[in-house]
Amino acid sequence: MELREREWLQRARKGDADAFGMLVTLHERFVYNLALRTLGNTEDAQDVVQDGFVRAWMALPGFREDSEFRTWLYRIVLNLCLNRFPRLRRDLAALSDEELADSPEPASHATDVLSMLEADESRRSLQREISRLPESQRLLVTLRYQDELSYEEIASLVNLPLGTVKTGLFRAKERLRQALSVYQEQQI
Amino acid sequence: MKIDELDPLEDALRDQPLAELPPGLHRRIMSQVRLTRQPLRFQIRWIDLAVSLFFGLIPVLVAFGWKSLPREAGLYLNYYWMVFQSMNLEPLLWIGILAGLLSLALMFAAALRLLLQPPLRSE
Repeated sequence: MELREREWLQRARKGDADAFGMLVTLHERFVYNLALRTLGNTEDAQDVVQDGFVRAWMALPGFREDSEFRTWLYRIVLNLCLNRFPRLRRDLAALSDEELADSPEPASHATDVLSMLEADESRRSLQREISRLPESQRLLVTLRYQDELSYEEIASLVNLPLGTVKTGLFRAKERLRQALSVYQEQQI
Repeated sequence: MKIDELDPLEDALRDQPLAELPPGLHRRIMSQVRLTRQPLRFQIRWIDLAVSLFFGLIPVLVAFGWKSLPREAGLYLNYYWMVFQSMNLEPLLWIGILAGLLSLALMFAAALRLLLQPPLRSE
């Protein structure tokens, strides 16, 4: 955590709404994108983000700084998303039952598929494929690559074993790779 | 799993553009935040110490007062206590004790409400 963020946090914990406003500015875009990818529509995402920040503000005096503010904030917002979207909770729980051993091997022409990601059109197709991922995998991908959380932080956030998080991400990437290879074949 | 093969995909995933924040969201969040008062953290203030000291000292003061009474006063008190008992007014005594306890409980509740009331913040 940066020094200035720590200072804003200290002031916000004492009731300084302006300092909290700086924290909101720092994190709102990432929080909004997390909610948007999880819930899939802008209205719900905005509601959850607004509610999440207000709850964070109210709970801030009790924040003990044993985790990063960002992770703590994500947990609040993610819980609100899970409350609004109970299927995601079941979907996440189902990830635990999957075994990495069952996962298919990476496609043999993976390098070709991945090299095409440099083109803009391919990037758009990747974005489209991400939106088609199962909710739980989309959430893991968002937390890992958009919010750049560690595996441990993700496991703690979604309350899943570390191995399950890794399995879920592996499966998500495999699914994306396969979808992109199909897309590439269609282009040829 | 060949990690090096996954790197371009991971890079592409990291480079996915973030959606723009809807206009007015920040303002809405902050206006809601400014309307919401933070609950107080648990903390001990001088008034808590003063109140607990007061109640804690009551038995000590009663015991000390009883011990330091002049012998005659003690005898008088004992005498009137025996007279009181002989008048068979024990139910009245219990009613008094109950009323006292009830008053104490009400006072305690009122004091607690006053102490837990969050102070006004100047913004």
